[in-house]
Amino acid sequence: MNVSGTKIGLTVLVVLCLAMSVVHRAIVQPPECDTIEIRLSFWGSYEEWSMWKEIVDGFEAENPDITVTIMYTPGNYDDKIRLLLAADAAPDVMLLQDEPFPRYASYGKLADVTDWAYASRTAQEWDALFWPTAAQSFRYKGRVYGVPIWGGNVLVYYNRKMFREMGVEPPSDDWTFDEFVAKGKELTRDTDGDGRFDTFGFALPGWWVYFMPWTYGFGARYLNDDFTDWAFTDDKALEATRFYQDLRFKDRISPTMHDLPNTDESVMFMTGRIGMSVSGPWNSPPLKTAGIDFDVVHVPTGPVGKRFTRVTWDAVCIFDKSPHKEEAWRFVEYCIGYEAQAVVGRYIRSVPALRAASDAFMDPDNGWNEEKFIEAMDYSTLQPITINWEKMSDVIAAEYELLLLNKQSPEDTIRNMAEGMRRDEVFPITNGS
Amino acid sequence: MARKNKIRERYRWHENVQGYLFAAPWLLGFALFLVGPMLFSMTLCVVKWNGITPISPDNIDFVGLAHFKKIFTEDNYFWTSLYNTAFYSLFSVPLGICTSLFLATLLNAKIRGISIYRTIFYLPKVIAGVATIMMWFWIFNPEFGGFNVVLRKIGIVALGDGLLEHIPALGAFFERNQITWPPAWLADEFWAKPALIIMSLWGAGGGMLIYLAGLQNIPAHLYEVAELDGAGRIRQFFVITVPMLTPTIFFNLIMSIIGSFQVFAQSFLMTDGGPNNATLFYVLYLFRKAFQQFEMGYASALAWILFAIIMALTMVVLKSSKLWVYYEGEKR
Repeated sequence: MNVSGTKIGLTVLVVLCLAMSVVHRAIVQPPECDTIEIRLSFWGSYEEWSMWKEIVDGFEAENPDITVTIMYTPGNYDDKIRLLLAADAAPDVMLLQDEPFPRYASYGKLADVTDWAYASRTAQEWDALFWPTAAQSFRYKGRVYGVPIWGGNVLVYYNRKMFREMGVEPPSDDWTFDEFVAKGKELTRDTDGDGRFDTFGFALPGWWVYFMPWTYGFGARYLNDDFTDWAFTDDKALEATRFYQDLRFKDRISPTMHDLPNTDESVMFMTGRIGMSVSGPWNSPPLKTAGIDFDVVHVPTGPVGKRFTRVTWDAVCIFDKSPHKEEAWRFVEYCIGYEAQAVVGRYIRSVPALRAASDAFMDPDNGWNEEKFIEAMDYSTLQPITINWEKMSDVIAAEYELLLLNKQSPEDTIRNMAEGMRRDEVFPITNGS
Repeated sequence: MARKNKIRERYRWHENVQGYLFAAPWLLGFALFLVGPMLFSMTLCVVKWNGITPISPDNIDFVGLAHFKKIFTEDNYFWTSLYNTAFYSLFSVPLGICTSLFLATLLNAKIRGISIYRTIFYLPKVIAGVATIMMWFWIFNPEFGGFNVVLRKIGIVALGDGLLEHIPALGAFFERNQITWPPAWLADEFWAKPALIIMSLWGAGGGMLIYLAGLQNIPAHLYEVAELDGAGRIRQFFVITVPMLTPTIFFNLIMSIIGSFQVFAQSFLMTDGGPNNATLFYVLYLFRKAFQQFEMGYASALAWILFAIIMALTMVVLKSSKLWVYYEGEKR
């Protein structure tokens, strides 16, 4: 081919490429049809994907005029949603945790669904559908911006096989903080006589929110009653903080970095080197899959004479700029119906938000007492979530990290937390939480 | 004559227009996706904005230079992240250059199957970053990770124990500062940065390829003359190879400094800045401020400080190049 031939060939190729790209949509897009497509985003494991798939299939069977397209994001979900919201390109329906919820609601990114929620029932009847903490979690300034779908509180898991092999009696539901420490000490042993502990009583929670049952058990509170200012400054806070550090450095029931360097504590729990840990129902499927002989027990009672635990909920929220809000609401409403909530319950990774679906969560034949998560709803407390949750959480986590590395005293920890809240302008919150 | 000039001028004008037209896609992209966001972020430095709500007087607050004042006077994390990044850069850049140069020298040999070896050494560069990070995560596991297993096998761990026993000061230093032995790598704030520096060598294949190209441009007659003069291999390396490679080293140095100050993925995926902020690198801190704490203005101020630091370092290296970079044919 001569030069002009090459030029002609290239030109034809470029024109063809352009033409193909122009007609591409028409070729690959199906012709206009009667169904409306809504997009649904969520995070999680393959199991959670399966759970959502069942829910979506059920909804589509009942609503042939709506197609639900799944946007599954296994990791870094929050980062992705944040960017999609910033770009006003978020999916029609999003699964959101209670933690970032108030911020997104305050930014006007979530649709106010109050009128839909109360369309066929009163506010009281709406609330009564759910666990009390679930109904509270997704309101912003008195309006409903999200519908709770599932959640969970945290309890003490224990490795039943390890207890049995070490000849230690399993904990009972009426135990106290002192008995919890004593039980941990029974499990903390130097089994090979080399002067170092090989087994431990308790996997110290790496993320501070899992320590809340103990914090609350001492009567300490992170925030004031109306969640507008920092309140973790009194003697009770000090006592709770000292207890946290002592588990590792005085009581020695939790391993330090030198005892089990860089080893995932959940793996140590599974392999029988740590006897107890604290987690929610979402911890049970991997333990079941791995064939671990485990059970759960209620949180011990603290010095205040009561027990507490932390509860967290996830909700389905509608993007405020969704062009299909009506259809999105139909999907949301389906998600809190018994059929979908029973699917949630059957997977036993979360407690269904719908109280009526609790029976689906309980399986008498599965060999452990998952019903305790339902029982614990009576003493479950919401996390101190505000519009500044992320900043607050970062300050707390940084100070607790120093505490648990034994690099700062409990007194300095609570003082530095208070200073950090002021320095990072986390509190006081003046424009509503 | 005047007519000829006119034609020439018109031809030049046509040529210029064509040139700019061909460059237009890139120029447009540069203006829209680089200069535009840069100017935007410059304006954000003086305001408070959460990055999610639309920019309007209701959603932004003008704060002047308050972000910069806070960064320099109150923000400990800024100094921590800057120190961590500088530490990482100080060790990873020279180590990376030396390793790449060493590999390139070895792979410049004329032996059978050399292209296979070159491919093998370059392979890590083309493997996806996250997969690599997951692999290194396993390698650095103190109990069953590859690194400590090798250290145990070759006796370094035992040697270390011996050293700690025989040099009480070292043992006391380790104990006082709660430093683990054998190293807990990513779980220990003393070892976490060295672990990431070691990991940075994984990408040495990229630099190696550039050095290899540089090495093959060195005229063979220089080595022949040196050999006739009785210079050995090592002397040849230092008096011929290194000086002739200085333009390549210079290029790699600048790119490595820029890259090292932008280190992010490793700490984001492997340590999340921990333990105890030991791997809180500058860009990770910037990311947290912008996308996790919704302080876009503050993050923009941090970004411009980083820009200034990288620019200053690049200028220093550029200025210093007159002292140590040798260009063939250049008059001094």
